[in-house]
Amino acid sequence: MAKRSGRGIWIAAPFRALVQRFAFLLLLATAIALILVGRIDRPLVERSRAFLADLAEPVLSAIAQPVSAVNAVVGWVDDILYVHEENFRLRTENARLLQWQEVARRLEQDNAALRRLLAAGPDISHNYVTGRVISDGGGSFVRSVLINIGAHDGVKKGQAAIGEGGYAGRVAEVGQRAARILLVTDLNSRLPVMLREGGHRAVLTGDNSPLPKLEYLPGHAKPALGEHVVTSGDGGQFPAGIPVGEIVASDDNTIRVRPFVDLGRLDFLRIMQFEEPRLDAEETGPLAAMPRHY
Amino acid sequence: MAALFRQTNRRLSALLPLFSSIALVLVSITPLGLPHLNGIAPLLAVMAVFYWSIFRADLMSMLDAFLIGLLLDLLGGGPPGLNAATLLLIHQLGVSQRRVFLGSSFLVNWTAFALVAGAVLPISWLVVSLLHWSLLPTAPVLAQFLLSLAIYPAVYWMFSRLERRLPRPEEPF
Repeated sequence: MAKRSGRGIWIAAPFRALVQRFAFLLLLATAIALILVGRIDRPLVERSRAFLADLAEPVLSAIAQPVSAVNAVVGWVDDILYVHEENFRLRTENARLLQWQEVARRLEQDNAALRRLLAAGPDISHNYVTGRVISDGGGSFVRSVLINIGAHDGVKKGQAAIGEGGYAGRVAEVGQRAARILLVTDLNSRLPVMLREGGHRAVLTGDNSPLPKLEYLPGHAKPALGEHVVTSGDGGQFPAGIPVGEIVASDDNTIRVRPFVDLGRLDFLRIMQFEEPRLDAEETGPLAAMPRHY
Repeated sequence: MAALFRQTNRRLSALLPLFSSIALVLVSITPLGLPHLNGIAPLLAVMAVFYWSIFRADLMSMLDAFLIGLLLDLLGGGPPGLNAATLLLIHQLGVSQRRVFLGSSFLVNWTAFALVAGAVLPISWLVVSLLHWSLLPTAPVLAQFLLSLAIYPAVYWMFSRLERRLPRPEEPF
């Protein structure tokens, strides 16, 4: 306060107005320059974001816990309101699942027997690290969340984030203690996928709407409503076959997919640590380790 | 000693507008997980800068507004600089029109906020659409506008309580 009034004494009012005007234009120009730089120099923006996310992580984690407790209560009230409907749905689903359980048991036995015949090794197992969602975009222009685990916990850029039900997004920025997950619905999200039946490859493109678009599907592939879409594993950052969503009807001329994960109510995400044994591993390894900013 | 304590107290409470704004930025990016909203939060940072630039412009400088916006940009994951620019403009508007708002009722203030939010959101929508060269969905923007309008009275009330604890300005401005 003393500083302000002190300044008032020795700077004449008109001159101060001029300085204010100049400062305003300077700051505005800086902001606009930042918008443009943000488009051009992604790594710089990513590093600043990761740095700030690391700083804010303890505070955001502290806020997120009580908030998630309150959410649980809200969800509980929501559940009570729909309890009858839900009960009916669950009962029919239960009957259907019991049939599936029979089928699964039989297939499991078959599978084990066949594996013994082939002398095949067990499936490649993946390690997961679980993080709490501590922040979402909060705006209407971004579909990304921050989680409270980072490079310190083994999270790497490009790894898949798995929510309740399947694929939720991929790691876009990594700090020491926090990481940003780009959700599958975000405008910048491009996910290589395939149809579970037939295995036709396509790209799932986010456009900030709740239902991402299925693009670059071969012309002869005619996906049916409700057909499941899974990751194709192209790109090598995560394995093929992670459930992503199902084909839904859309009013425009595009094919759209409803993600299995409820992206509006994310609480915890598991980061899948996947190392695919690949021939071109040498090619991606050193490149990823090289400084990308000169 | 008492004088020193009073001085420190005074300086600390002079930081309240900035700190309360930062707190609102953090709240606005917390995953509230409200059903049927899909992660949309009210424009809390806009409310903070709008309020303080009108009622205590001496404690909310344009640099403060710029930094609050930058913090929101970097933590929220949106295009960096967008919120910094908007909050700077809102600060400028608030300071220049403060004489109009200072004597007027809450209803006038609310209407003015509606106009500001009604300008900020479509402009941001346009900028982000241009940056990505594709039309973004408009429904979340409308939802965010209505939600912000509904929350504003609560934030206004909270800030006006907080404002009573602030030291009076030393210089007439």
